Amino acid sequence: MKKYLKLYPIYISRSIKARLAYRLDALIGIFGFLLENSIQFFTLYLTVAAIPDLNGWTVEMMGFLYGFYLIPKAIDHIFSDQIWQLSNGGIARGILDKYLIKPINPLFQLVAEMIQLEGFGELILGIVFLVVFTPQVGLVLTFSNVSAMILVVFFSMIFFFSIKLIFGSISFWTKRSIEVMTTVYDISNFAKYPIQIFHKVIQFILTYIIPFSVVIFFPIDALLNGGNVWEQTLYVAIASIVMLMIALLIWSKGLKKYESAGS
Amino acid sequence: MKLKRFRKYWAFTKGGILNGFAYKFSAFGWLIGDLVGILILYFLWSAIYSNSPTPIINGLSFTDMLTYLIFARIAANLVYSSSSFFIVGEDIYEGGIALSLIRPMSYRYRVLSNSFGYFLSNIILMIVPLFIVASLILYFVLGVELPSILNIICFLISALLSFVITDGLGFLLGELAIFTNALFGLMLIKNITFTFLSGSLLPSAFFPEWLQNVLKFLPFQSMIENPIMILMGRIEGIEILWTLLIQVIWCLILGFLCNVTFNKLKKHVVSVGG
Repeated sequence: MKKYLKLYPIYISRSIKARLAYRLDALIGIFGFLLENSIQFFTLYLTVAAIPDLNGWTVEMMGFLYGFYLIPKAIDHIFSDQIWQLSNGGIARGILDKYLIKPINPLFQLVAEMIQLEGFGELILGIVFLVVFTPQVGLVLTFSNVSAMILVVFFSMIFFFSIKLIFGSISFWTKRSIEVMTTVYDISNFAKYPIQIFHKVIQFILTYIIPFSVVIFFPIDALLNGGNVWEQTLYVAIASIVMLMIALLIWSKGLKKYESAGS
Repeated sequence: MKLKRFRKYWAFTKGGILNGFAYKFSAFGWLIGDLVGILILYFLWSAIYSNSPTPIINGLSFTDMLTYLIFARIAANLVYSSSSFFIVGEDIYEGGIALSLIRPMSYRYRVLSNSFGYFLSNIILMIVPLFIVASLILYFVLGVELPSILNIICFLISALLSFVITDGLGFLLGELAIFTNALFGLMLIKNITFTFLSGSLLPSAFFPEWLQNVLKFLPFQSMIENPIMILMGRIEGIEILWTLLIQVIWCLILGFLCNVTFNKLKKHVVSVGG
């Protein structure tokens, strides 16, 4: 454990240096993600602005939800973007070879390999949305609320990470899984909206099968509409930890199946 | 002579078609991903309309809106499939452009014909089947009228012009690769601005007024919104000709801009050394 704590900063600083060698490129990437999410939200804003409110959710509340959704997603994006390489034919190319010959946990090496600066685009926007919309939705930031929100962000981040790892690890068997992975990842978009507007089947899926709404929507719903925030935080923690365990199991099963590219 | 000139470009078109077909399974995978988006759209807009005090928002009823959004989403594949952005970008980045310059043919037309190949394969593999499925579903579930033959023909002409416009814009942006290697970031910026401004996320009637006024002087509405409105029969009669004329004008303007900028860029590429 101590070894990893010492190694991680070294990996990170190396990765950041590599990325900053092309400063303009990094900036364009960050700006790209910032712009994409701004426009997505602007579209939602124009849509909801055409009506008084959406099942009791005003534009401001939806902005707050959107901002909150972006933060765990962005942090996960920054720290573990390399997992996408698994699904993108990386297994067939043999990208794991170089990790397996070192006496360090291969998952650690995979994740630590790259810091994805582009994720800062989403992170900045998420924080801006929270700052702008918190007073507008009349949310009082008590110590209890803030600490619950920080915990929710932390566990949702683990949740996003686990989803990526599960569907990336499928590539150990299928060699390529980026389409499935993107689709599942896109399902997270459902969590940006009040769950009541969806069909019962979709509500069930979002709550019990791939519980994106549990880790994003329900805590915010409790926060804004006066529910029990800590109860929701507990559910977020349970969902994330269960997902993480499934992910690690599939990953380690897959790793045993891994064959080198043989070049 | 004329025919021979045409034939050498056709080789690149064929290459594009074959390349497009080679990735058909991947195209199919993305298609399923699209379903998630369409589902969200459906439920979001049902809720929007049921929360609205009036059954018509900005001149569109719920079925109109849904038809428009589904068609626009399918047509947005056109924006993504125009590959000249990547062809130009990678040619500059990897230096392949040097080889292209010594060939006795126009680089712009070579890229256009190659990109046209991808466009055709996309039309055959995705756009046409999706339009048919979507129209049938809308017809049987929501009772939306099927488009008339005339509308379909006008739409196809409009879509072809729309492809040339989209491709011209992609070419112009691809040329930026001379300043930066961040093709992925540029692609994100290009795709999101194009999809939004072209009206594939939301018809421009929902935009604030200043933006609507600005868009009148830009080519984006000719890319998605106008062709779809033709297909839906919301642009009719003489207005169709008018819309097509505007598209042709944009094709000419962008073609001119591509030539001018590429001639400038060519000199710059030489000085870098290929």
